[in-house]
Amino acid sequence: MYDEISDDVYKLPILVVDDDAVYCELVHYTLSLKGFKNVYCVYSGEEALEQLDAFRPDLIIMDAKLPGMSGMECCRRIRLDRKNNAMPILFHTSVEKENICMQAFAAGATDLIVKPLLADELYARVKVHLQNHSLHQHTIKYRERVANELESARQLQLSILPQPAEIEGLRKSRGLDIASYFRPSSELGGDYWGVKSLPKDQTVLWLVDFSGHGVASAIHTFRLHSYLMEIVEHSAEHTMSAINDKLGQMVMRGQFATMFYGVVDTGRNILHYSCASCPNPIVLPAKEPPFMLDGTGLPLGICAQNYERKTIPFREGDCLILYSDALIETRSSSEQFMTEDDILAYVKDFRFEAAEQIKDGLLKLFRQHAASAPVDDLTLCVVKRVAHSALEGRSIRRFFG
Amino acid sequence: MQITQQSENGYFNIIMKGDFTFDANVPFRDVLDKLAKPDAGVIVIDLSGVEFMDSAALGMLLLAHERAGRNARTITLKGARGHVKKILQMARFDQFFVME
Repeated sequence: MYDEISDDVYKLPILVVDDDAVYCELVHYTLSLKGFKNVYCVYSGEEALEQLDAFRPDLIIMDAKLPGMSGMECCRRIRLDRKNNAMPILFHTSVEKENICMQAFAAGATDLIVKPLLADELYARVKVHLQNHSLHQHTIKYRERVANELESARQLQLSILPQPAEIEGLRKSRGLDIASYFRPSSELGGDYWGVKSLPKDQTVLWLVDFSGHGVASAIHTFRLHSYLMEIVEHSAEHTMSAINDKLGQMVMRGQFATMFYGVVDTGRNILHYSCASCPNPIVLPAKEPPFMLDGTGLPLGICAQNYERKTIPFREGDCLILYSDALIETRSSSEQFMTEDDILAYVKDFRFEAAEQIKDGLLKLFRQHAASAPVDDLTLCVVKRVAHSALEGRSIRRFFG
Repeated sequence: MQITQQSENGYFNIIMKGDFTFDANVPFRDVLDKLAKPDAGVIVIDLSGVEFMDSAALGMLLLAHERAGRNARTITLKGARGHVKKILQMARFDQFFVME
């Protein structure tokens, strides 16, 4: 019988509350005989409350009819403390009358034991309630541990994204105004974006979305980040092919990633890029109507493939908007999806706004549209070339400020 | 997601209805098992009843392609339209499937 439950259960402290010292002794003896090692007795409700913090019992056996503070009242007071919500409190009564049962349960009792004491019944009830309580505590601790670990991993995931100092640095060195939004659908996500400056006025920008979301996809983002930091270079199509080969070894069959990889060349006023099935990026030029780039391309990690490089003009005041598919794959209350045309129509009025305002505008549009929180990770990344005059004005203001 | 399987005249038709997302992975597993069999026949996945498809569905189709490929079979994707058609085109799935 002892083997059926973990030995740890026998070490859990049990508090017996009864004004009848002989009865207390009997319960103590019976439970000790069954192997329970920490059984304590007190003789009144007041004493039980006083000693509660000292004993920290995992189970209480309480007489319903105590002199002074009744067992019912004592139980109610114990339950007032939230940390005692799940602790089993077993009442023992000399008569099993329905009204006493109901009163006991109303006061917070977990179960009843009817006097006279039957050793096997006492053991069976104490055992089952301690086991349940122990499992419950384990579950709570497990959840707390997992929550803490997920929070650490979430912080780690945020730390591989571009940090404010880097973004501010790119504004000064490259005249790029960057705003972003990153929201995994659970603690961790499979989206990842980044930006890195290269020599000769070139700045690389990417947004990756691993199929699926949650822990497994997040681990892929970490691995890809480490790899990308080593191989980032100015040729979009070469980098894309290299990542494709790497992911081919890294991900399991049926898994893949979609990606945009672009290089902004502020010296030559161009953007060249390669796409691997990413949602069509949107370009919001300073002097022309907005348009979409073609995100078509084989997703990464499926099979060997050469990726195409395309080039467009990207001048001062022009803006590039990248987003993960959750933006256009979340239903409205009328079951509709937001289309790229909706986004184009909306952003055309933001031509003269800063990246932050464009990003906030898109989020507002999304929140107006979406009937519920997206089931997939949502990432937005807006990169705008600041007009030279704006940069000058900024430095002059700083100089005089 | 409702998946109906029909085997007749040497054809294995898999008719999909509803949203093709991760939730389809349990019923689709049965399809994957059958695709790997040497006697699967000519395999046609009918997507005309699918309104929406996500990246998990693309992954499942890739697995289907891989299973059928073990017996040198090619899968035909039939009737894709709207959002589904666009997603298949963007991912260049015509490299792996016959599109009808």
